[in-house]
Amino acid sequence: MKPDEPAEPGDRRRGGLRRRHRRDNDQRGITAERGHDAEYGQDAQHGDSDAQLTRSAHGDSAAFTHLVKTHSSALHGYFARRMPAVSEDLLAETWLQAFAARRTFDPARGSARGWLFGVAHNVLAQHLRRAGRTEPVPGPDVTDPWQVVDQRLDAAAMAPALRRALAELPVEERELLLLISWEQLTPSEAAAVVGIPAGTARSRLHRARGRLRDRLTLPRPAGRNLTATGDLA
Amino acid sequence: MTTYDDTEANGMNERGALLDFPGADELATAGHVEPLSERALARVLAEVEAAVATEGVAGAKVGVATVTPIRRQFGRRRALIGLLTTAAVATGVVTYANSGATSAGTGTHSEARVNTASVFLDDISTVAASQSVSSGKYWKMRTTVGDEYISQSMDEYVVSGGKAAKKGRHPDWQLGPKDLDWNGLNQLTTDPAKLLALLQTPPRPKSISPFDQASSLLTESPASPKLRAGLFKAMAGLKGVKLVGQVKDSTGRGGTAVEFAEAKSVGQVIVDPKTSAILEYTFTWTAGPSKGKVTHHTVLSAGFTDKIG
Repeated sequence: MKPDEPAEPGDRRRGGLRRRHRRDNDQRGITAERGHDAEYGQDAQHGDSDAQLTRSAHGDSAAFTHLVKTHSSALHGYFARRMPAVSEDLLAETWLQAFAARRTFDPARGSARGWLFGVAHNVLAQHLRRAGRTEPVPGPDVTDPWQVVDQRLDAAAMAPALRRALAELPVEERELLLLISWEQLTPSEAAAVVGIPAGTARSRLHRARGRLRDRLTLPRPAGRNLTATGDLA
Repeated sequence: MTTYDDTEANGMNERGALLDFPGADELATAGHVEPLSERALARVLAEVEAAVATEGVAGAKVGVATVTPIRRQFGRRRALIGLLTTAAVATGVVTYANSGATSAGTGTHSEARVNTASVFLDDISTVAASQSVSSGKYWKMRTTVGDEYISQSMDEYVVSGGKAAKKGRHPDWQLGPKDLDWNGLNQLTTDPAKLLALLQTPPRPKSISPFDQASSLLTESPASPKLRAGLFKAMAGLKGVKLVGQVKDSTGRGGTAVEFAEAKSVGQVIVDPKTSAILEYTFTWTAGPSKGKVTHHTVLSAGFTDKIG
């Protein structure tokens, strides 16, 4: 998300549902990062972050320091998974850009957490552009350093079929999927991060899930061409 | 609005549903990374605090908090407020709300302490402590005027134009009542409170300021990472040390500056928040016959080596 870009309305209606999600995750056995785990499911803390970012925009710099302490672990994870060699530099850059842009945060448009990941997304996109010496292209930035991510999956001894299925996903779908799986963002937050409407993000995520189910669940007869299901269930 | 807006009310249940495919757990596990180190967090905090201070300086000077992000290549820090800050720093009369003396070694941040030099220096202390320990026969400094070597017996050599020349004995480093050679540094306490007490002892004739004593040790001595960490914390406890913010040194490298004003002069060090290295020490006469005279000591790199040249 560009820091000043509006997010979808309704982002503020998460209420106590995070707690339920956490229970779901526990049951599914998903390993959460300590930093995420400690942070996740704590509505008060998310509300605190929104308030702290707002306060920092009005001159309370101490509030911004609290944000740095609260969210650095999660933001560092975002970079460490995608660009480990420069993850600390990118994290520092993210906070400097977030500080510079803090007055553009509007809690009515989305959470501080989603906003900060949006800044991180932009920082990663800038880095990738510099590394590739390419000019910005119209439309949303795609920050999917697949080679690095694929090496991570390889190192984690991920099943080859799953790796292949992820590799064959459209870049935008894969990026959204990783944002909700690894960064534990909500679909709306993930949408805000990449700068697309929440409905579009949900549609792509459902489609990605459909593709993965098709690839990984159904036997694939030789010569069969897989088609996207567009599963919107 | 889309047909999916209604599902937002389901919050994270929806997320769980979207991750309901074979291998989702495996994917989540593959995303595990090592937690952020304390050193890395300290570095980030130091940079943010410098940015906050920079804005404070510019805001104080112009009465408006105008912030513009400037994107640069990594390895060089960026100034959040370009020309305004440069102008403010160049005047040498920047004032910044500093709480003054603070207790060294607490390592905790309260809201009242944020923005102060002591918070920044505490964080830099953590960065310094995390640097790797090394050793060698000589301490080498590459400066803008040539290469300088200090042997363990305090002999000083200068290499200029490819030729090495012995310059004599390097003066001992002063720390309050102590004159320290290489061995003396190795035996010196690293406790911040004790170092601060040494710095704050009554000055001897011709003593340099406590800030300059600490700066000199941090800039041009083979002090260990632990000693440097202690010195940064001790410096944090000196009354009158001010955080200037993000600046550039005379070679264009970005860093964070702290300064200390005396009756007729100002000493300033520019610290690299990434490594805790001192990039440049600047001494400026602010009064007297030499008023306006500025001296830079710029260190391009420093470290141990076993041979000269």
